[in-house]
Amino acid sequence: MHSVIQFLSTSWGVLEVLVAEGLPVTVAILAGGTVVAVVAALAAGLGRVSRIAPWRWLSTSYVEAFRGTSALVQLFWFYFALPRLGITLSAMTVGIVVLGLNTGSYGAEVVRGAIQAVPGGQWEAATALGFTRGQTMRRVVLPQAAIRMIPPAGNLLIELLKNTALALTIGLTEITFRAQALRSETLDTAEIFTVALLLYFVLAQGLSFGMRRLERRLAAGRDGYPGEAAAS
Amino acid sequence: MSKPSDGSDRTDTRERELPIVRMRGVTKRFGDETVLDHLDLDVARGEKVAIIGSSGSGKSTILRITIALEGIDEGRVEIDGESLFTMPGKGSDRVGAGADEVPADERHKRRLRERVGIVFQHFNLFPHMTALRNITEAPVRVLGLSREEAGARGRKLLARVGLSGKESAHPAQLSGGQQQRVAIARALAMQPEIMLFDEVTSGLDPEWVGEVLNVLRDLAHQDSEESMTMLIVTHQMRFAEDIADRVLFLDGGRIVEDGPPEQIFSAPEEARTREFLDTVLNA
Amino acid sequence: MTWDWSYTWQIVPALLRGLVVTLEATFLGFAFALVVGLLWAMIRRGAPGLLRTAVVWFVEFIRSTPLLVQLFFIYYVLPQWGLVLSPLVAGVLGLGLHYSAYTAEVYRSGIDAVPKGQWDAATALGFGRLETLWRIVLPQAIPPIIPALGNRLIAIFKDSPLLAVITVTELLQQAKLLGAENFRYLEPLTLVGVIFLILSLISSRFVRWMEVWSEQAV
Repeated sequence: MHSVIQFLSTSWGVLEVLVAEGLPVTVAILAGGTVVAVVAALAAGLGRVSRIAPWRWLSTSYVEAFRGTSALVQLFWFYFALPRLGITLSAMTVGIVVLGLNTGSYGAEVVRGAIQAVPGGQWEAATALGFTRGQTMRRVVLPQAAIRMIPPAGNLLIELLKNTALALTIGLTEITFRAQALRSETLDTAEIFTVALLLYFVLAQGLSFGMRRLERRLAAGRDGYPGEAAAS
Repeated sequence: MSKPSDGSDRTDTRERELPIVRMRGVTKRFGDETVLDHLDLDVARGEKVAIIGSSGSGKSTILRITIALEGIDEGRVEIDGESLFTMPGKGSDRVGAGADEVPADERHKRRLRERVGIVFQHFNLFPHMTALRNITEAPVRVLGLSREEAGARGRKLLARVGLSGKESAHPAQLSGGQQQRVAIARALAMQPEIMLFDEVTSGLDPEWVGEVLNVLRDLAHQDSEESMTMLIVTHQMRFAEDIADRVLFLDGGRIVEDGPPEQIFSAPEEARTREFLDTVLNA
Repeated sequence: MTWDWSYTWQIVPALLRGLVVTLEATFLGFAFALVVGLLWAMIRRGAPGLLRTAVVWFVEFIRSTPLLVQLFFIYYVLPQWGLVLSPLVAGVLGLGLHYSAYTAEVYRSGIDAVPKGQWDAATALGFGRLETLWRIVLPQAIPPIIPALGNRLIAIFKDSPLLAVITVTELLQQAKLLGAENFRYLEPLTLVGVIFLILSLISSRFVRWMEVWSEQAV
C-alpha cells in the first residue's frame, strides 16, 4: 500500500513537469504541423485529381516521397543533411514543417479518396447546369467530400500527435524529451514513462472527441444524421 | 393433435407420449417488434409439420429457437421434456411450474442441439471445404467419429441425396440445388431426431427446386418408424400438402390455424388463413 | 555541388549492414504482430466480458500512444522489474506489440466480413465458439485481408528507424554513426532516405498487385 501511494505521488510530480514544460512544446508542434498538413493535403489531394499535369506530377511525387520514408528519417535529413545544401532551419521549424508534410502526404490520399467517392452524378448535374470545373469542385463536390474526410483525418491527427515524440531527437523539448530528461535525473523510470503514456492517451482521446463533435456539426441536417438542424 | 396418415390407432400412443418439441407462451421480440406472441405448440415425435405464413410472421424464428440460435423473451421451450429455455413472463401470468429463469448456457444449448439439425435457406456450406468434408467435419470434431467412420457415413448420405461422385467438389463448383442437398446431408450426418427446414427452396433457381423437394419427400416417406420429426417452413403449398401430417398457419406471431393439410388447404376454418392462401395460390 | 561521391561509395557497406538489422527487426516484429494481433482478435470475439474489455482498452491504449515512448518503456522500465532485454529484442517486442494493435483491427474486419450464416451453420452443427472461429471462420477471413496485413508490414519497416533511439544499429543509426564520425551527414542520410523510398515503393506495388490478384480470384 505504501508503495502504491509512493508511486502515485511520484507520478503526480512527473505529470506536473511533463505538463508544465513538455506539453506546450508538443501542442506547438501539433498545431503548427496540423496547419501545414491541412494545406499540403488539400493542395496535393486536389493536385492528384487535377487536369493540370505539372501540379498532378508534383503532388504525386510529394505524396510518394513522404509516404515512402519514415518521419524520423525525414526529420533527421531536414535537420542534419539540409544544412549541407545551404539551408539551415531551426529545430522547431523542421519539426513543424517535416511532420506536417509527412502527415499531409497521407492526408492527400484521404482528400483524393473523399473527392472520388462523391457520386459522378453530382459532377454531371453541375456540368449540365453550366458550372465550370472549379465551381463544381468548390460548391458541390468539396462540401460533400469534407464530411467523409473527418474520420480518417481524425486518425491522422492522432498519428501526428504520436510523431511529435520523434522531435526529441532533434532537440525539441516536448513531452518525451522531458521524460527522458527526468529519467537521467531520477530513477523513477516506471512512473515517468507510465505517466507519459497516459498523458498521450488522454490527449489522443481528447482529439478523437473533438473530431467526432466536428463531424456531427458538419453533418447536421443531412440524411441519417440527426444533428442540430433536426433537433427542432 | 395430428392424425396419422394411415389411420392407425397410433394416435393414442403418440398423444400419451411426451411431445418432442413443446413451446408454451413463447414470446420473442426484436427491438420494438413482437415476432412471436405467446405461442403454444406441441410437436409429437415423428410428426411432419409444415409451417406456412407471410414473411415476418415468425416462422423462421420458431425454427431458430428450436435449435437455440435465438433465445426467447418469455415462455418455455422444451426438447423431449427437458427445458431448453425458461423465461418467466412479465406480470402475473408466470409460465411453467416454479419457473426460474433458464437463459441456457452454451453447454446446455449444445447438448440439446445434438438432437436437432437445421437446413438454411442460403445453405451456409463451408466454402473452403469439399462436399464430403462439409458433411464429415462436425461428426469428426463434435461427435468424435474417426475420419473413416465419418467418411463412410458421409458417402452414404451423399448417395442418399443423389450426389455420389461429388465428394471432392467444392461448393462453388456445385449448383444451388446440389449445394442445398449437400447441406441436407451435412445436417443428417449428425443423426438428429428433429430436422428443421427453413425455406430451403426459397433461395433456389426454379430449376433446382424440384430435386431438393424430392429429397425432402424421400426423407419423410422413408421414415417408416416415425422417428424423424420434421418442421418445414415453406411457401411450396402443394409440397406441404403432400408430405405434411399437419400444417400450421402463422400470422402476426401467433398460430392462427393448426390442422391436417386437407383442412388447411381445402377447407380452412379461419378467415385469415383463407385470405393468405388466396393471395399465395392465385398470385 | 557539395555531394561527395567517393564518400558515398565508401559508406555503402556499413549502411548495408544496418539494412540487414533493419530487415531483421522488421520481419521479426511483423511475425510477433501477426501472432499477438490474432490473439487480440480472438479474445475480442470469444472471451468473457472482463477479459475482452481489458483487451479492447489495452489495444486502444497502444494504438493511441507513441511507439517511441513504448520502446522507452520496454527498454528502460522492464529492466527495473527484472526483465533485461537487448536493444534488438526490446525493439522487436516494441514494434510487434505496437503493431499487434493494428493487425488486430485487420483481423477483426476480416472476421466481420465472413457471413453470419457460417457462424449459424457451425453452431447448429454443434461446434463451439473457438472451434468455429479456428476451423470455419478464420480460413475464410484471412485470404482477403492479406494485402492489408502486407501494408502493416510496410508500416513496420518504415517505423524501424525508431529503434535507433534505443541504440539498435539499424539503417538510420548506422547513418548517424557515419555522419558523426566523418562530420558529413548529407550523403548517409540521403542514402538512407533513398533506400527506404525504393524498398517501400517496391513493396507497395507488390501489395497493390496482391490486392488486384486476390480480387480477381474471388
